[in-house]
Amino acid sequence: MHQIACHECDLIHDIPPMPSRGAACCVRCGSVLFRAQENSIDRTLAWTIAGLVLYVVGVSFPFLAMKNGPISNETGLLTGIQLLFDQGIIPLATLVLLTCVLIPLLQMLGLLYIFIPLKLNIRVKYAVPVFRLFKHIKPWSMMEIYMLGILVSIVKLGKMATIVPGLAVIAFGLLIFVLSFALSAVDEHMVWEKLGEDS
Amino acid sequence: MNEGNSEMKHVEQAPEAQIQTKRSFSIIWVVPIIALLIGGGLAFKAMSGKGPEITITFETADGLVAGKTQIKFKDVEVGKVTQIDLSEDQSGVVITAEMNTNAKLYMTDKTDFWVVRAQIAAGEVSGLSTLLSGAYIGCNPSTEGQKTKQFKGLEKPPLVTFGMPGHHFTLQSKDLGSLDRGAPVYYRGIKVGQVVDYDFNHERDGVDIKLFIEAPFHDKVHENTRFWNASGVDLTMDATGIKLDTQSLVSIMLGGLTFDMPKDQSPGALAEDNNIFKLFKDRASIEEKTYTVKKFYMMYFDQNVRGLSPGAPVEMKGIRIGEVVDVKLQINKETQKIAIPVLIMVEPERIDILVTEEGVVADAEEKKEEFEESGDNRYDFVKAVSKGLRAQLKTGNLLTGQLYVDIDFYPEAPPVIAELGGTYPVIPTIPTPLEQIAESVSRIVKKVEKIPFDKIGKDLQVAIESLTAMLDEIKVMSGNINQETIPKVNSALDRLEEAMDGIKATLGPDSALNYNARQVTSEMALSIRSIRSLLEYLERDPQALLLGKKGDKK
Repeated sequence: MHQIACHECDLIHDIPPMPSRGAACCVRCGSVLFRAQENSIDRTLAWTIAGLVLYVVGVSFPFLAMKNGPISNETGLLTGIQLLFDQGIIPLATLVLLTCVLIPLLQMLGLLYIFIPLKLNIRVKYAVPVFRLFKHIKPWSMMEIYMLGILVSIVKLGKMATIVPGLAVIAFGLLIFVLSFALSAVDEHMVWEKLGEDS
Repeated sequence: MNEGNSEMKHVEQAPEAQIQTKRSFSIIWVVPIIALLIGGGLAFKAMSGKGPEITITFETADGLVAGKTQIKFKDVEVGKVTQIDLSEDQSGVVITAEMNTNAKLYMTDKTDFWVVRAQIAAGEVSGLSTLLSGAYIGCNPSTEGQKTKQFKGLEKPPLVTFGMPGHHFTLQSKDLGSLDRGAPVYYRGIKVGQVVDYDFNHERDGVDIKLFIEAPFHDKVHENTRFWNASGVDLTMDATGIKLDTQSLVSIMLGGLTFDMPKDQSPGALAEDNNIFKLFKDRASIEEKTYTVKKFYMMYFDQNVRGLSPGAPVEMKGIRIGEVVDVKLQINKETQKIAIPVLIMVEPERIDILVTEEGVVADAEEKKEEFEESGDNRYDFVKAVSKGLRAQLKTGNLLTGQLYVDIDFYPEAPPVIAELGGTYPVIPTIPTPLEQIAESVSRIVKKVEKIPFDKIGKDLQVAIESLTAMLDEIKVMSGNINQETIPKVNSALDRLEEAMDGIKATLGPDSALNYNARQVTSEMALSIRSIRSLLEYLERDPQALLLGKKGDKK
């Protein structure tokens, strides 16, 4: 029988057998200890794979086209970062590269690395450190902030030039939702339990 | 009961339905499948949307940017420059470009590419938008020709683009003159086309000028149409005067071509595309008939030939029959005699020859044959000279002093034996009629001498004398008027003045008449007043007439 301590009041509980859906609550303070996710592995995997597809589309297709009379300029996500590097704004470029390109990719790859073996009931090395890393980098994924920035610039620059959103904008917009669905489908308690069984 | 119990038991003993807790396929897997389908579709579209990759060589990559410069046809993007490299021998640049999918159709060796930059040429400003957006590569696709992926870019943009309706023609000319690419072609003053290209002909001794006439004006070009150079100002000065011929200001600056039909020719069939024409030098030359038969004659003058130049007309009775070909100077070393041989060319086809024996005027065609057949008409020439055929220099234009050669028959001229020995038959000359002028001047002098100047002088004197006498008479008459008439007038005026004084005394304000009159008037006024009072009294008291005044009674 596993035990769990309440996050709020540190009361130790025995975990009863969980139904497929439901929340385990602290008997003293009433805060939620963990939620049981129905079909967690399938859902996480499905959303993650969809996210990866959208990610590839978002990175490889043009992001924005800016037109002002005969002048036309088309940028993708990576070419935009490249431009920032070229202009010497290296800290900002690095930040954008990390938060919008690398970390979301790492997150999705990490999820695949953990959930595919879980789904197939096989054991892989370094599953525990990978899952820990996944939990650590989670706050650094800031694609939605990037999207907000893009939206603001579309509104602000709309008067100066015609902004044509590219396919990548739609893909990234969807990716934000898909990735949050994938993350919410992760049943951390179950993952730890399964990883614990293995070790 | 038992039965009921057994029935109940039977119900209780029924097997439990199997509960499937794990779905073999979760609906959630639809999401990544849809994402994959969309992503795959996009990827396929992107992959299939990529057209052929081509290379174009240019001399310079000025204004071209890899990844940005577009390839456009009719201002629509058909491709994009992806890479710019130096060519292997460093003499130019190689541009790699990615074309759209449908560009496969026209990737042939007839397709042209050129760089469009802002330029001012041929009276047009073009490519201004490239100042802001940067240069782009223009393209003139052609589906004919062999498929290729390596192109050589044109350094100058061609002027007519693919698919424009109209016809191309080629003009053969000795030199290009002031023409340039884009020089206008006018028909009756309206621009209907332009010079597209020019190059040396195969032998490199002339120029082939390619031009394009837009539809529907290409219908105006027939097989007998003549093109001529309308460039600039055409100032001609010859025996007929000064002629100034200009086209529009644009063509003066840029050069230009015009075409029209010679007045006396039928247009002929419609000219086909790529037909070849000869370029004439000016308008006048297209109207000139081209005569094939030419005869040369020599003449010797011994007078000043200043103003006689090659090309000067040879006229007979004022009609041009040929022109001067050459003027030279000969000095006989022994006799020191100067002679000026003048070679002329006569086009006999300009003359209709009346064949007197048959009384028929030979027409142009027969005549041509006749000349070609006979070849040698020296007998006719000798006959003509013996009948007085002479050449003479005449001043064509007093202003410019240009001379022309006049050929005519002078039956009274001294007979000359026709010379036939030299290269050319020699037409005898007669001097410019200076003597005739001198003669007529002397005739005028004689007539002037006959005028009786003495008698005219005498008559004039008499006339003046009688005029003086008449003036004297007038003088005497005016003296009479002074002495006799004026005093009488004066005395008459004196008397009139006296009479006026008398009248003044009688009628003046202090005169007796005036005083009396005033007295009478006042008297009359008094009597009128008494009458009025009497009448008033009578009105009040009418019986007074009968009874007298009442007051009298009292």
